[in-house]
Amino acid sequence: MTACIQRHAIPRRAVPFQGACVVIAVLAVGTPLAAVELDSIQIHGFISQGYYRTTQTDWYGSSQDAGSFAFNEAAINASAQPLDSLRLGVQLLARDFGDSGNNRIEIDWAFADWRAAARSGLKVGRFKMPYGLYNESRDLDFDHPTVFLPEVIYLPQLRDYTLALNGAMVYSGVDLGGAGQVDGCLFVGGQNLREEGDLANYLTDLNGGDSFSSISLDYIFGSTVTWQTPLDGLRLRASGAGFKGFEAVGRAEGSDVPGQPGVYADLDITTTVGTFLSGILSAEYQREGLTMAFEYLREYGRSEIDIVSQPFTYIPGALPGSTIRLNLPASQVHSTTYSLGEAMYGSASYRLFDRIELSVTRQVRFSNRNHPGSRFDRSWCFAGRYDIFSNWLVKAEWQYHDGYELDTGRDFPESWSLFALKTTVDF
Amino acid sequence: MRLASVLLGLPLLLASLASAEDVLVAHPSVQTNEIDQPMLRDLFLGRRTTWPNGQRVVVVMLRGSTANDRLAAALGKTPQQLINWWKRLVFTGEGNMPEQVESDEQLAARVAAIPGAIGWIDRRDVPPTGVKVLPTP
Repeated sequence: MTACIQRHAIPRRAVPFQGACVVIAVLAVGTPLAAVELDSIQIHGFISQGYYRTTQTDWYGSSQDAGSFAFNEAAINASAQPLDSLRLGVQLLARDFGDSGNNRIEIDWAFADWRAAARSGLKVGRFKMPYGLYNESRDLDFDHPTVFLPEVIYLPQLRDYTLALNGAMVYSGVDLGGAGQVDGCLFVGGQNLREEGDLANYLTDLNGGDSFSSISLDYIFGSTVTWQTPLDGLRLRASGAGFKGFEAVGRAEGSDVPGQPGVYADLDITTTVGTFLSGILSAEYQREGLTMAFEYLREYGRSEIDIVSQPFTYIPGALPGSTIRLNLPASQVHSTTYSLGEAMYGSASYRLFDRIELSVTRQVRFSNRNHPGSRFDRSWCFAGRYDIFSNWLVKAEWQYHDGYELDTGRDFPESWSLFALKTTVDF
Repeated sequence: MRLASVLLGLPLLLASLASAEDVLVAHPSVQTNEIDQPMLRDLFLGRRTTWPNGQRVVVVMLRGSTANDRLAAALGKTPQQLINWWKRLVFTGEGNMPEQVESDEQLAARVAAIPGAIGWIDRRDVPPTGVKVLPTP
C-alpha cells in the first residue's frame, strides 16, 4: 500500500489582540522594568515580534521567498506570596510560529509552590517541565543569546509535550559543603495535547495523518538532578523524562496518483507509542560574560502504527476524465518501530560591554541510530543580540543546515539555511 | 589585539574593583550573621526564598550603580545577565522580581522597613542605619 499524503495549510485565525499588544509594548518601553505591583501582587509581561526566512525548504509554514512574520509571542503573568512558604502565580501566553500557535491564548503555567524548607518543597498545578538546561525558559528571549534554542535538543515540534505539565513536583536541595550543592526534583502529570497543535503538525510530517480526531497520552513523568559544582559558574545536570500511553487517531486524505489517472484512497492511521523515554546530560559554564554549554540527548521510543485504507478506490472510467468508484474490502497494515534518537550541541557566547552578546553553536541530530542512513541534521548557528535597554532587545541569527532531519517541509533538501530577526520588550 | 585584551579583561577589571566598603545590609530581624559565597548566590539568584528560621527573603537591588555592578560580578554575571536571570525566574513562575531602587540611601531605607530584606550597598555612599550590617563574602 502506498500512501501519498499532502500537507494542507492550516487556516490562520484572526489575531484581534495584536493591536493591544502594540499598546502594551509602547507602555513597556516607556517604563523600564516597572512591573505593576498591586498590594504584593506582581504583574509582568512581554511581547515579541520576529521574522524568519529559509532557503531550499519551508520551515513551519511558508518561510521561503519573502519569509514569514508569523512569529510572535505575548505573555502576562501575576504572582503573589500570601505566606512566607507559599507562592501562587499564573501566566497566559499567546504565540504564533508559522503554522502552529495561531495566537491562541493559553495558560502557560499556573501553580502553587509550597516551600517546606529553604530549598525543598512541592509544586501543584501546571508548571514548566525541567528538562535540559533551558526547556523551562524556551519562550524567554531575554534568557538566550540566540533567536532559537538549539533545535536538536529543544525540538519545536515536541513543544506541546515538553513545555509544561499538569501535575505535581517535589523538589529538594542539599549543600555538600566544599563539594557544591545538589538539587533534584521528581514530577508526574498529564498534558494538554490539541488535535491542531505542534505535535499534530509533527505527526503530519511523519506521515501520521493530515488531520486528527484525537491525540492523547496517559501521563508524563521525569526527574532532574543538578550539581552546582565547586567551580564557580559550572553546573551539571542530568534530566530524564518520558510518557506512557500516547495515541493519535488521524486521517490522511487521498490524492491524485502522480502521472496516472485515478486517486489513492483515504487512510485512517492510528499511531500509538506505548513508552517514550529520553535523557539529557548537560553542562553549562557561565562566568563574567562568557557562557558555554553542552548537551547530549538520547531518545528511545516504541511505536505501533496501524494503517487502515478506506474500503473504496477509484479507477479511470470509460470516458476521458471520468472515474469509477469500486467498493473493496478494507485492508490493514500494522507495523512496530523502535527508534533511538541521538542529538548534541555545543555553544559559546560572550557579552561585550554588557549589552552585546555574540554566540556560535554547532549541533547535530540523528533521527534513529538503529537504522543506518536515517535522517540527520548537522548545523552551524551564528547569532548576535543587542540589549537596547534592560527590557528591550533585538536579535539576529543565521543557521546553515546539512541534512533535513529538522526540516518540516516536503522538499528534503541536502542543505538549507535560516535567517531570523526578533525583538522583544518586557515589563 | 589591544581592543580584544581590553574587552576580555573588562569583567575581570570590574571584579577586581570590589571595594572593601561594600557591605550587605539586612533587616534587623534577620538572624543570620555570616553569608558565605554559596549563600550569597542562593539569596541574590532567587534559589533560597526563606531564611533558616523560615522568614521570607526579600531582595532589594540598586538600579545601575557601580555597587550593583560589583554584586553582579560577585555572582559571576554581568549586570544585564543578572537582570536576565531574574526575568527567567519571573516568567517561569519561580520567583518575584526584586525591588529596584535608585540610590544606596533608598536601598538602606527599604531594607530597614521590610522584615527579611537584604541588599548590597557601598557604605561610603551612605552610613547604614537601622539595618544589620554583614560583610560581603
